[in-house]
Amino acid sequence: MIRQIILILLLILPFFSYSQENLKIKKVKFKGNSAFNNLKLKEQISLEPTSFFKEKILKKDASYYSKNIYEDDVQRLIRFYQHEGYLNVQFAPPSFEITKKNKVILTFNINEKAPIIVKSIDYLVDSTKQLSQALPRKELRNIRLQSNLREENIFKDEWCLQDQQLIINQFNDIGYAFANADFDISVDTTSNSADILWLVDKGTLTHFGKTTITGNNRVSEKNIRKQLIFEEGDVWSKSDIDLTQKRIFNLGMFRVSSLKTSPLKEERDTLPIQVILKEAPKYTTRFGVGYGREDKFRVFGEVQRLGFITDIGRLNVSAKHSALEPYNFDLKFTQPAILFPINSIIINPYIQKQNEPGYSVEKEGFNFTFLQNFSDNFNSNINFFFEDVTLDTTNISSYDPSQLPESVYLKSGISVGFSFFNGEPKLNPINGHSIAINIKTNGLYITRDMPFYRSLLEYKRYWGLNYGLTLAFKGKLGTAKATDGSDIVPAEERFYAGGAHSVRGWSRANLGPKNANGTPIGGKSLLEGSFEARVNITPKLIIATFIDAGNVWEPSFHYRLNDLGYASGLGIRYDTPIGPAGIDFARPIFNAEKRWQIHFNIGHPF
Amino acid sequence: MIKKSIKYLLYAVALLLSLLVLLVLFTQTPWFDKIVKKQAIQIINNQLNASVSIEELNSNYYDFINLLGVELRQETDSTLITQVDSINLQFNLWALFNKTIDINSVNIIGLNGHFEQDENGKWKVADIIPASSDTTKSSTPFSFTLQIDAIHLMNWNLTTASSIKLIPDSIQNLNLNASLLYQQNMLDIQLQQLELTSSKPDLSVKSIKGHYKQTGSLLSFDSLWIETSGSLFEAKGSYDSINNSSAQFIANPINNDELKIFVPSVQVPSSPDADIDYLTQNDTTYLIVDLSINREKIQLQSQLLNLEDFSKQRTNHIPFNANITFDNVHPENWWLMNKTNGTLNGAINLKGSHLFDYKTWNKIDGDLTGSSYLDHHFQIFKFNARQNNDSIQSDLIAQSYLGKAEGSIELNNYTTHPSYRALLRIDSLLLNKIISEDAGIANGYLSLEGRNFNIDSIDAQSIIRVYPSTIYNIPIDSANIKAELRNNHLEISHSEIFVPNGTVDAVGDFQLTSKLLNAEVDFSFDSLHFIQHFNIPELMFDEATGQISITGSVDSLQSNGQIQVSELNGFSISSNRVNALFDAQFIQKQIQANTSFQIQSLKNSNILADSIYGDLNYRQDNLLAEIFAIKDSTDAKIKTQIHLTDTIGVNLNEVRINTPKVRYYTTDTFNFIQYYKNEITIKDLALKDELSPQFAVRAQGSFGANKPEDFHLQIDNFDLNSINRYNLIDEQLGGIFSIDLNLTGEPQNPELKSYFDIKNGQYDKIQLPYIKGDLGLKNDTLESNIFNPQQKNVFKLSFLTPVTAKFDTTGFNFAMSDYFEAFLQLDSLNIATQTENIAHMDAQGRIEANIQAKGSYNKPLFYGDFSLIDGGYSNPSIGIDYRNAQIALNFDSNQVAIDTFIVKRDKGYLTITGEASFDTSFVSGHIHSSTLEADAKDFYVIKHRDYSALIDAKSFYQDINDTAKFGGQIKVLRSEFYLPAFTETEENNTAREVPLLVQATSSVDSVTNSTRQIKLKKKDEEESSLFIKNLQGRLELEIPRNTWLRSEDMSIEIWGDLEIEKSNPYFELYGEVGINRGHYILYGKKLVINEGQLTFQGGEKIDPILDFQATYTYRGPDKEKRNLKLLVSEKLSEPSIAFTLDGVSIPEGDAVSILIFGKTMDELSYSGQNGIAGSIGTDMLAKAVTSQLSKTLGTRFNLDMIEVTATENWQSAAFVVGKYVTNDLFVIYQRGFGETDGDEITPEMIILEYELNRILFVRLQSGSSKESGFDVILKFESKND
Repeated sequence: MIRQIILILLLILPFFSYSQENLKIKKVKFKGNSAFNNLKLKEQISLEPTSFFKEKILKKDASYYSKNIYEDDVQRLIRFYQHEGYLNVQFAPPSFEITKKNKVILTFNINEKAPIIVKSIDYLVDSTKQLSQALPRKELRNIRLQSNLREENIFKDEWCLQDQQLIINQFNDIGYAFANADFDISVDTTSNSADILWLVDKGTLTHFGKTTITGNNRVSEKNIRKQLIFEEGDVWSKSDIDLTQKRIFNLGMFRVSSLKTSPLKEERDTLPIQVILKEAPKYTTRFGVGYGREDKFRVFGEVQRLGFITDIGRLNVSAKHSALEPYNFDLKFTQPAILFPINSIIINPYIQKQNEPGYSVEKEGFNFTFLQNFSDNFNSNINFFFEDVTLDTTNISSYDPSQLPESVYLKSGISVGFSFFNGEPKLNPINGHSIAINIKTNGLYITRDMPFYRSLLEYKRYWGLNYGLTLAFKGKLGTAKATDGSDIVPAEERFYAGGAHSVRGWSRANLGPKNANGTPIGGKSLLEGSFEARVNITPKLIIATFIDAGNVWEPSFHYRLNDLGYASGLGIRYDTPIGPAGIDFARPIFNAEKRWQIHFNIGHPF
Repeated sequence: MIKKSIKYLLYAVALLLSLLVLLVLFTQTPWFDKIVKKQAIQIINNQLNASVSIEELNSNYYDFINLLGVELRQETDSTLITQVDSINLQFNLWALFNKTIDINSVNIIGLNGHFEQDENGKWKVADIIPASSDTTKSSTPFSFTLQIDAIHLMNWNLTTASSIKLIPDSIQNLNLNASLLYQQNMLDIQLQQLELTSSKPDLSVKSIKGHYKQTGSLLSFDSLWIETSGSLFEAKGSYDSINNSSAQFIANPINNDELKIFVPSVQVPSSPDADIDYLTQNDTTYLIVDLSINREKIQLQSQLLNLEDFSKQRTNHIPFNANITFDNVHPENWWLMNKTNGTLNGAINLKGSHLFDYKTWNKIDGDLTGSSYLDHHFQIFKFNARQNNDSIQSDLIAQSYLGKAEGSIELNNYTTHPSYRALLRIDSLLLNKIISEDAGIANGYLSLEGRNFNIDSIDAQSIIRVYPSTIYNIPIDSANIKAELRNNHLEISHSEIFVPNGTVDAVGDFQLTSKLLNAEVDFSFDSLHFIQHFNIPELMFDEATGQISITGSVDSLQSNGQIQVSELNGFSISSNRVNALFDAQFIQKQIQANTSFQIQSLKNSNILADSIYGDLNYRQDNLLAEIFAIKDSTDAKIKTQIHLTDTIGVNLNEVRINTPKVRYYTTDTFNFIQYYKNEITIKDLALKDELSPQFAVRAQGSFGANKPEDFHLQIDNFDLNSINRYNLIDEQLGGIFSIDLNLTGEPQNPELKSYFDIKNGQYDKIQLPYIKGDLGLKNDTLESNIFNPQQKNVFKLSFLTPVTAKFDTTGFNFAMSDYFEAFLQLDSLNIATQTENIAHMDAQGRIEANIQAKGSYNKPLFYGDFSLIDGGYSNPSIGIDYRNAQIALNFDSNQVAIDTFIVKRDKGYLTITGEASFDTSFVSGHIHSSTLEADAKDFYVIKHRDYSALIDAKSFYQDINDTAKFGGQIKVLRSEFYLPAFTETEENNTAREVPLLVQATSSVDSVTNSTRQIKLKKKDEEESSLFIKNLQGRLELEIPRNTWLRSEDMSIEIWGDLEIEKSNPYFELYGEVGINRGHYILYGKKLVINEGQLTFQGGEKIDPILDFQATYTYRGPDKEKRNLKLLVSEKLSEPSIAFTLDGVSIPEGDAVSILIFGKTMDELSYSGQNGIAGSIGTDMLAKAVTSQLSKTLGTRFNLDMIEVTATENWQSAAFVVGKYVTNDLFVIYQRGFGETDGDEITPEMIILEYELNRILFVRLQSGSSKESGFDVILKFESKND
């Protein structure tokens, strides 16, 4: 009866009705979210505010509130939360606030509820075996250490899928190319817990079949085969293929190095491998004009020849002119995969002139360098150098003569360096450390002029505090000391502070001891530190605020914390595939010097 | 003389001899036999109290006697006792000289006899021998030897009448062969054969044989053989004295039926074999009994001492030692009993000083380990008992998989002043296997100590401890009970029961004589989980505690107590705390109870109260209830007195309900509601609201089936908004409602008059105008008039319908009829005035209507006119803007005529003319006949940013005799559709992947609480109406080349002619639509469509066949121009997608790779392909394309993932490597090895080159401060060999 009356009323009174729909959206807010910030949630939904800018300047159509779209968005958010482990998330009816201009401020009322916690993770291989019986210790450890889903942690779809791949990979690595891992998740919504059972189907054990190599012309097949770390008949392993691919690629001769496993229909346990290569051009020539961060205007030319002397040898000849380097001729011969695949050897003679704020030198010499790539994170080099240096005293006539016993001298010695970096993502790290050390000695071999020892230690640390908020720290410590008691270290081997990668409130080399003319004379002790907060305004746009501190002192092993130069500033950077690019504005603080410095950056300063 | 003397002597001798011979001859004559017979009968008759008759006697009186027809009759009544056919005796007279009675044979053939026993058990036959008066019977030993060589009894048949059951009623065919020798001190009987059959009891003795010999005091028998139809016995034995005797008895087998005859008390279900050996030597008697049934054996080995002394009453002790062993004995085979499925194994040893006096037994040891009961195997089953000086000590231990029980009993002075002590310990006793299915598992022990067994003098105390057990489905963690019974007084001084969710403490006492009970029970639980098995409703709480005390005699108990529950949750109600105090009396089956309770923070979906206090008082059918509810902002108080007899009366003494929005209260304490025999009387009910003084409810009067109705209800200013809080209906209600209602008339014909109004009414999103109206019921007619007082002449609605309404014994019966009449009057209703508040929708015009509707609700008939003048409607959000609309409709019962319908927009217009007649009513939708014609010219049906359509049309719709037809032509002059606008919402939801947890909750393994449910969007069931079903026709849709279908990723121009046909219940599309030009964006790359077509072939589902190609042109790594073609064919629902690269077919993976990175997967060295998955390929593109076409907005799968893994490759490069990341981006990457460049340790270096044209690049370089910068470079690369 009530229904019929209502229907009749509906029929005859449609013109009195009105609804809240079709109001422009001024703002979208969220209430009750603690697991995810507003930015993250806004990415999920399609309702978006109509800003004056968008509407009037960009001429975009205004977006209206509609119940359908709201409900769709709620569904999206529920799905999003559920993907992130919040199975029971609930949405209360939205709150509306109508502005005077008849726009609506919409608030999503979220009740996140408790997330689903992983209670247990079990594995069953081929329906009978436990994982520990099916996998060798190393692969077990990989699963143990690398799996994302952990007991007592929140269940996330992405982690689950990543773990699935991880488990499959472990079986792939021990020869089960067709291994498959499936998961059986039992959810108990009374206790908000989930039990995960991985059901692994190993499939057949497979072996490497024949390896065919195509696409190589210059590089001999023998040289490529040397990079293979598997032989026909070995147990198939995906990581072996990955590593091999990397090794071949690291020869530097190819644009394309691709290893394909092509299962044969008739023989599933033997898998032939196809190495598909595409060689890089033999000669590459570049002529360029540009603007460098420190060396300002520059002109350069470079020729690269692949397959020089040996069929994987590489020769680079380059010439450059810039304000910092009036001339620089550089020849570099690189032989990759020497002795071991992780080694590279470089022979590098050069002639160059360098104009630094504190000095100007002409150098001729060569480097003989061994590079070792131990892992993706850890590298080292051993370098023997020989250099004939001419210090241009005319240019810096006011230089303190006591610091300058000779204007022409020879240097030779060995430098050893290590670098370790486990930051992720590599180009815009939000987590991890970086440690790099370089120790250089001069005058131990061949020459005995001005023997010295010089070391530089750099430590970086990244903390991802929240989504879009990273705190970065850098500390640098440098020491140089003459080993013959003379206290003299050549000008170009001394430390200078200031510049885009140093204390950013000063221009290059301008922080530290100076002579009467104000020319930096460098020092033998260096201490620098930086704190930087990087905030993603949008997923691609980063605002950074930073404080730098540091100084250079003339004596060796002489560090005075109350004598540091401080600088602070702001940076705007845009994230590109090769890392962020942008501009840093900085000026000294607690200092008489008040000039703003502008630094153009490619990549974060550290 | 001598001679003569000799001669006469000789004569005399001769005469004597002759006489003798004559005499002898005479004895051989029948006469003599008769004489002898007569004399014998006489002699016997004189000797006996019976009469004997002999039919015939034959004898030579020398070596045989033959009697025929011998009868023995009762002297008194001449009843026959015995009758023998023939008795034959052969003997040797001469042997008498040797003092031997030598009888060669005795044959007694054909004996029939009847013997009766009187009630004293005396045989009547015994009477025939008179009591001997001769007491001086010679005791001289019988000096003759009796030798009977053959005794033959043949064909004997005897009947008896005896009270002894063992004596058969009749014995037939008794045959016997035996011999007998009797000498002084020696008796030797050889029984060769005895056979007989008896009835009642029925026994057939086939053969009894044996040899019995007695020599002096030594008795012996051997080779005794008794064979009956079912049994066979062999026995032998000897007896000299009790101390020197032995016997052996073998039964093989004993027929249990036959055994029953002799030993009715022993009932053996089957027939055992028996071997009994008995031997007495030197005061010691050995008795060995072996009984067996198949493989089951019972053996008794016993030694008894002093049996002789006992038998001679020289001692009253028979010290004994007995061992009974059981081997695989199934009791039910041995004793008549219920099936036990048990076996007995083991041995029992008994020792005592007197066999027949159990009080002297001083030792019983039993070890029945290995036995089983009801299939339960005892791993251990041992018991022993010692008796000493009036006291008994016993121990028992039993263990099976059912559990373990161990105990001891000590009983002292049991004949005089008994005292006892018992201890029983059970471990994991599976009561559920022993008692019943739900009896549970018990652990614990019982100790009992006491004196006396007589209930009046018992003084006993016991302690019961229960360890974790489950008894009748109640899990018990532990229990500790201490009880005492003394002086007819049972006292439980301490009891503590711990269950998993709480404890129960109880103390109490009970007077057995006066039956006075006194008990105190304390309990505390944190859940009722432990009794969930009893289907206790789901109640959750943190803690429930209580104290209950019960006192009084059994027939008049008093009880009081209190219960506290904290954080209670159940019955969809929750409360922080519930306290209740009660006080009750049960006297003479009458209950009086007072309860006061307090519920804190009561919550359910609609109500929230901080606390509710209440007092309930129940006495003699009267319940006095006072309830207070308090919340921060809400409190309520209800004080009632309820009479619970056949008249239920409720006195609402006080009602007060305060909430933030309302504060209801009753104004008077005399509110009274009474229910008596279908009659409800309400007296002075008045409810008001402090917060809105306008609100009031007043009710007064009575209604029901008994007397004329007199009821008045008035509700003033009720806020309808408050209904929403109770979630009664889905839609939101609002407004202020008032009604004044009067009910009068007879119960059979009640009369209702009411006036109501609704101000600011709202129904869901519809805002109602101020409505005023009346609703009346009189003479079974319901009538209502509604109007808007502000525009009284503009809007009027009246409504009338017949109803049945009456009060009777079942209550108020109300039924509406299907007929109604309604009248709607609109006079210059200005639409614009009503719609000015509506955003983005603008309607205007004036409506005039005079419409009458009547008939049934399903098929109302309409009469009158409806017209819209100067109408206009625009809703920019959906692209509609119609102006200058003129509509005039005329309703006449089931006919609607469109007199005028014209709508204009811009320069175009749309007109419709025609009429329709429906077979019953136009609400039913069944058009009987109709003709409609629509003309459009340059008419923008819609014009919106997302879509627009400009048409010319000339179409018609006809429906004659149930055949609806449409036809004509629509020419789409220009149109454009932005497809996502149509398909944005729901379809995509389903396409989105379902979160793993959601998938998991639908699997079987998961436990989900039922409260979580996915709420489905409520949709009224859309039934396609008859109208649509019956519609038929064909419409041409002409699309010139100016129609665009657009989405974010697609833009195509289509053209062609389509036919919309309906000959089936659904619409079908036929025709070919050509794709003239367009493009299609996949992964940000534009694929150009040159031509193609969509072919529609009808069918219920619109599923055109696709045929088009799209081409993407790009430059390969060596800058050559390459064409990637996407070929789409087959049906839209299952499109077939293929790619070619320069005419060569390539896999989808490569195609995706080309679209994204401008390279094939090989060139990309995308590490994902190294595994097997890479070579097998994916169908992601097919999915993408399908979704593009069918939904236009595809779910773009997560490309970030591919990008990351693709770039990973160049980042993992160890040394300097250059690589194209995309077609025009080249990356050179060098990692840092810890080298220095001046003051810096050189970090990794990345150079990014962007190709402006084939030789000109711009490049960004990051790395050390010296190197990083921006350059423009010319780059030349040699061609590969």
